[in-house]
Amino acid sequence: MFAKVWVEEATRKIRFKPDRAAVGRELDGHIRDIRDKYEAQGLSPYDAEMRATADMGDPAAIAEDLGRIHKPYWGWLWRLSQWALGILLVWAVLTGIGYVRNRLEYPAAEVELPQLPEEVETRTYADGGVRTFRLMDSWDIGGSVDLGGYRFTVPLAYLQERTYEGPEDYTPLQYELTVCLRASSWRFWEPISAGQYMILSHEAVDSDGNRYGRWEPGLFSQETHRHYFCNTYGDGPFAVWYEIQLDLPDGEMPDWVDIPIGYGEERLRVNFAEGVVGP
Amino acid sequence: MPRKETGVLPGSTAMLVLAVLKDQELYGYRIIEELAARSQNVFQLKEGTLYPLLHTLEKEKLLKGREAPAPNGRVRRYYRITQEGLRVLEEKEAAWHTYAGAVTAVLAGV
Repeated sequence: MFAKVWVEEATRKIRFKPDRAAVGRELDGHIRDIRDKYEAQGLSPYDAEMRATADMGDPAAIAEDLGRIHKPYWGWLWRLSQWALGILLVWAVLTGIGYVRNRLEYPAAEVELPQLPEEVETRTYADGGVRTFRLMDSWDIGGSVDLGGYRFTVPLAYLQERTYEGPEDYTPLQYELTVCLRASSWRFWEPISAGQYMILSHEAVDSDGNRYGRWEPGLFSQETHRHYFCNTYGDGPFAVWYEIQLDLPDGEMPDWVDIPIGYGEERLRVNFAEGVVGP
Repeated sequence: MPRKETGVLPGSTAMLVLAVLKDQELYGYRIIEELAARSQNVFQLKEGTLYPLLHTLEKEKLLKGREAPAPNGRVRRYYRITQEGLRVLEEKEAAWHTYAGAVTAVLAGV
């Protein structure tokens, strides 16, 4: 019998293929060793191989034993556990890289992602003043926009009424619109260039012609722009959230707001009237 | 011509294989050669016995196998004994000595 036939016959009851291949290699190596011995004694390669497989014994008998020992479920269980461990390790490394990247890019980035606030929230300040936030409205914004290699979605948008009671002479009634942008990309190693500072360096505009900008010398002023701010949150290795706050002094909701992305050349329109985000 | 003798005591073939691998790492073909050489050809293990035994011992974690390229370019599976294998070997040796002593005593008519 030829070595190949012998090995196939002897391993045919091993149902886990990687095991079958490994045992086949082992038995084939053994036959070759015997064949070499016979060739060294002067036998032809053919005769040496025939003698070698005859020395190995009945392949059907060994097949029964090997099939009993190499149960397929152990092999698959082992293989599955290795895959699971591999995936876990890769995920842990990616999460670690993403976390470090977020920390480096945004040292002050929050850890917990923003959520829809309670109906009423109060915060007391050091001067004794109390601010009350009342949830007025919230929106489910669908769709996504691909810009600058990132996919932007709006997982959260809501409007709060903000009142103040205390010693300072703040505007007694204001409304604040919060829009959370989520920027995601598989290129987890790259910082998102359309980041917090880029958003804050450009102005946002709404459907009523109002302009929003960060009040800062050299940027925008209170006279021309409504107040505009952005916080950043790391969301695992593949995403960052931008929590954008826009002041609405009169509480009048615009149909849409255009938010600057990247170097201000691209804009993303969050359409509240239609409940969708678009370019 | 010496008589071929294996399996006098249950598990004694396993004991012989473990003993051959006690101090060295070997592949199947060399295990058979080594066993034959040490026993002056009394124990000539058949391949059909050896490989199921090696794989069983490996599954029981008494042996650890690894594939490695041999100098002639072939890939071989080398086996070495584990700590658990050494412990089991000690047990089997002790049982064997008791058994052999008893047989010797019977034959001597003591």
